[in-house]
Amino acid sequence: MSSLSRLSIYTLVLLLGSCITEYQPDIKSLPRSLVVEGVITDQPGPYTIQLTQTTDYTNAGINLRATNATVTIADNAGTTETLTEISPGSGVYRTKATGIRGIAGRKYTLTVVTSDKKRYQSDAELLTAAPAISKLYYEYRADPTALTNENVQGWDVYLDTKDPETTGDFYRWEWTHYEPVSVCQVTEIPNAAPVGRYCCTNCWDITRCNNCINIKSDAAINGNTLSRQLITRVPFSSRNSYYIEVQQQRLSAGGYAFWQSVKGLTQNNGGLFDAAPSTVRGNMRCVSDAGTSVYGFFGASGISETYLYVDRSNGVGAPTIIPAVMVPQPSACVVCADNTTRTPNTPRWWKQ
Amino acid sequence: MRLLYVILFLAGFLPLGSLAQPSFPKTAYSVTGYILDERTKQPIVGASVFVQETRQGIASGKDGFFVLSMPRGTYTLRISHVGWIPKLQPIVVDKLLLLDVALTEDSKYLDEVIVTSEAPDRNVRKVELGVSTLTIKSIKRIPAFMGEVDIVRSLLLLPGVTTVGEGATGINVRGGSIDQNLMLLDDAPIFNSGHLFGFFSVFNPDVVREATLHRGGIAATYGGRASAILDVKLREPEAEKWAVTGGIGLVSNRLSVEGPLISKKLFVLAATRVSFNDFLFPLGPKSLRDTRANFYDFTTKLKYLFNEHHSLTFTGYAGKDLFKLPGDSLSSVEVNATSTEYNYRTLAGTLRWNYFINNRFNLATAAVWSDYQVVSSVPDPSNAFRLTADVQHRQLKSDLSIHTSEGHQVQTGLSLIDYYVQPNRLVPGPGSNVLPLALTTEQAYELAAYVQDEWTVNSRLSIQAGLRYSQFMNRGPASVRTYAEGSERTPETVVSTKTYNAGQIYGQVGGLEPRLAIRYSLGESQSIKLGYNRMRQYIHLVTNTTAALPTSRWKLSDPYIKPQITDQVSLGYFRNTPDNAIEVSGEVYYKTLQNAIDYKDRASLQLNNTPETDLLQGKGQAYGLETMLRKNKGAWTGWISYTFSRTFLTINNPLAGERVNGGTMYPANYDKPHNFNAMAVYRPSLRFSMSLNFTYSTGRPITQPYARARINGVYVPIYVNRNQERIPDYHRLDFSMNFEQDPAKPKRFQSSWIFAIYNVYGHKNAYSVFYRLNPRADTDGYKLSIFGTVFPSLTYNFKF
Repeated sequence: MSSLSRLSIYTLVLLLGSCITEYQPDIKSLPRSLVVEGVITDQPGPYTIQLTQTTDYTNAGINLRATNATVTIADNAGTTETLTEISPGSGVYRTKATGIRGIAGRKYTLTVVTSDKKRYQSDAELLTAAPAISKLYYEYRADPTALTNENVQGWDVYLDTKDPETTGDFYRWEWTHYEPVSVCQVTEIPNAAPVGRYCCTNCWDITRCNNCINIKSDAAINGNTLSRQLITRVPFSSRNSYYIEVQQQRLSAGGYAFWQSVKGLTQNNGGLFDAAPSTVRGNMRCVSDAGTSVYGFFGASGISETYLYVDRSNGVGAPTIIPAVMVPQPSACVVCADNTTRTPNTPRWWKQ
Repeated sequence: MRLLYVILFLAGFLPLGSLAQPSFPKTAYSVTGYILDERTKQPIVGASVFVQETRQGIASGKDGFFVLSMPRGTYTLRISHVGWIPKLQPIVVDKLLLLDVALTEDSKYLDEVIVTSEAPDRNVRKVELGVSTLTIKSIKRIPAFMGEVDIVRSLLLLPGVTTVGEGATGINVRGGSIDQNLMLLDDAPIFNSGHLFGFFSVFNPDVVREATLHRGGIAATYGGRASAILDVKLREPEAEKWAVTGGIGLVSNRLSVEGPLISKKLFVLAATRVSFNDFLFPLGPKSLRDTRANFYDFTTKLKYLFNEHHSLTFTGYAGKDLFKLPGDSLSSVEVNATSTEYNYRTLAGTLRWNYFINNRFNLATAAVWSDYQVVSSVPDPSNAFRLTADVQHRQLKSDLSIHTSEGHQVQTGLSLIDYYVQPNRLVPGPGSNVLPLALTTEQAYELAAYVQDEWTVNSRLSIQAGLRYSQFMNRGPASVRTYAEGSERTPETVVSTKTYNAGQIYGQVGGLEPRLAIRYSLGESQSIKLGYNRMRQYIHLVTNTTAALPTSRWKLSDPYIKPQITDQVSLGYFRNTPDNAIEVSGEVYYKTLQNAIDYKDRASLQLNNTPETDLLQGKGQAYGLETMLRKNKGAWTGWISYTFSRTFLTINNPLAGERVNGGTMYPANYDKPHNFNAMAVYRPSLRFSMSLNFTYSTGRPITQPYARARINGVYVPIYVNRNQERIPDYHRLDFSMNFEQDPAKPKRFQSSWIFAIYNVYGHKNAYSVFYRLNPRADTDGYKLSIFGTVFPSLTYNFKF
């Protein structure tokens, strides 16, 4: 939705006491189709591929996982690896840690044979190295209009990078924040401070924006510096430094189109100033039956990464208070879990 | 081709030669003259001039002019028009008779003619069909949204006129897109008819005399757009004394001044409207306080009378809208910005020289200029830029009308338009990282010639037949790309590019546009009419959003974008009660559209230097039935109308990527099958009137998701085909009350109050339907209602 259309909606909303009410449209049904998600990069693996299925566009619909499939990644130099499903029924397939590794300049193809013997294949995706992040910086900004208290004061993190001379370069940015934690288990007690137990080792909570799609094309600035790309806003939740890692991915034209479509579709309100929505199917197709639909994208991305400590000591007043946790002494420690939201492994650029 | 112009031109002017020696019987004489309002000296159009002895009659034409031919003798003329006291005028015909008749306004006359200023039986008697005129007087009776009298919005009450949604710019007429309407302000085309995205129209109601919408059987005088003509005429300036009118409303304040600059020679009318400060944005939520939105416009008309034969009129319009939006950026230009400013303006002018040669010949020549410019800009130093788009229309035209006494009214004319379109030019600010970009400008000539005859064969049958020829010529500098044969047009399939120098003609297209209207009278007050017209359109508004934005791109036809051509056949039945108090009419139409424009999925048009790679053309089809019942007399007046109409597009090309919905027929964005309108005005006295207006229409088509995928942790909708579902139906009731001063006690200072309520029962009409999956919600979708509440407004008007 363009900003003009957003303005018109604002205008309408403001001028005209508009309102949003619930509405039940007729439900449409399509046969379930495969949805593929995954990327190979020029960073060390393992890489994961997720397979799910489409469902009705309703609250009640469930996107089932596609399990027991044979998933293979191959490059144009003859390297192939068949992925293994990390646990039965998960629909998540992973390469070996010592297995295939993406190399800039090579082309990668994903092949999926599902349990019903349908064979799907991606287009050959060229892996191109990403330019380095030339500058990652932050600026304090007070925003009295912010919706949550935490964000009234904050630090906007920006990125600059030098775009190559070639036209048709596309980028996507993702960030990861690691917050050191000492308490690894918290039990809520009604009408009292929560009770916790310490971690046995160093431990970090991991925060990402899972549904952010931060992408850009170089169309307007080709060959110049891509400047002031907003990465995220750091909240005033503490006076401690905030550690953030930022990943710059280079997308193919098809990958950019796909993510732009996903972004557009999740923002499209079906309003008067929105274009007729349409779905980008991605770069997969069913080779055993041309009539079978398949959605999703298998990408091959060059990556450059860097980190930043955001100094939050200049925040005005007290930061948003995080409730204190009582830790009884003595008590047994808790092992720091290693999953997508917590890790005992020291982050790559952690200084202490 | 050139030969054809010559023939057309000659054909048009030939009757001139033959008429120079009148061949009608020597005993017949012409009675001719003007019908004027006694007080204002404004011409009365469509007044009935009736010879009581011979039962012969005619309606006064443009400028109140009439011609009658009758044998020597003594007669009594009855000159009448609704709203004026009829006048009986005895005449003696023994020579050419010049007769100026002044009618006195009938202040006791309470009958309100809502839709038309024409003679009461005009709808039965006139040849054309599908024509509706709204006078400003009747437009002001329609309950106004936020108290802003709006000409374009008022048209939505007419059969066959719809919109994709409240607040959208433009109108859709008989299945045409909004750019298929030629909107003329005293002959100057207006490219964007809306202020503030289309909430309010650019025509200032204080200076408009009437708005005429031609939607079927369009006369050969008009051309250039495929669907309809909206002809908005400004008032003539007050000739006798200076007058000031104005008003204070919720949205804008108005002021106009008019009067004689040089007595009996030079008259001026100037009016302006200025919107209130930023539409109360500063009082809104914090996030909107930095938003700026304002508009103003200025309309003027100057008339200079050299003598009885020559007059010169200038109409000028300047309108500007300004928006500033905090913390956002243009989606079409991928840069990071903290605010974006939008600025769009229309400048239009017409200089018209009218040469009244004699009673039979009138030559009107006009120079027309219209310019629409949009500027978007971002101030942030590292990413600063200005994005400018411009459309210019420069035109010279000349129309000769010939009145004969043998029942022929001939008109012929020539027109030359010079178009200049600068689609978008991006100029970076100093030190900005943004790259400059200038899309290729487009330039072209549109030439047209026409001839038309309105022939009253006998008292039952009259025919209006016309032929128009238009030719469109693309002019360099330009580069024309050639795409690989047998593959989809994309920027990658360009195989060669040919460049043309300035002034070089590189594309030509044109053709005949026949027009026909036939009226056959079935009796005293009923008739059937048949109309056919072909229209060609060479300039298109290309946007893939449902409603156009002010920044939407204008595109000329070129070797790839073929002109849109419509053929329409319509048939109507018209009947009045003998006293013309009640009128009934029904019209059916069938229309085909060649080269209808639609867009590829994910088309991006704003900064596209190869728009032909995103545009698709195909066939369109529209048909409908329009019915209307109207009461013109009594304390209660009004009308009800019901329209059934469908509009479909078929974009089927040999290549799969250039089809829409797999090449099958699908409803257009503005396909709304059922429309019902009712309007009632109660006027018990001259001081008070009350209006009620009800409207119902089928919801517009939308594209509904058929499935969802989970990608990147979010649900992504999957769409199959365009426009397969609809939003809920629309209905609304409006009400207004008008308090005026007692006309029996004339005062120098006059004032009136209008109280209006829009959406009386506060129906939450769907503006759009969208989907947000939320496991806690009972429904899968939501509807956004924009005018989802009752809207009262109060407007104060004054005149002195």
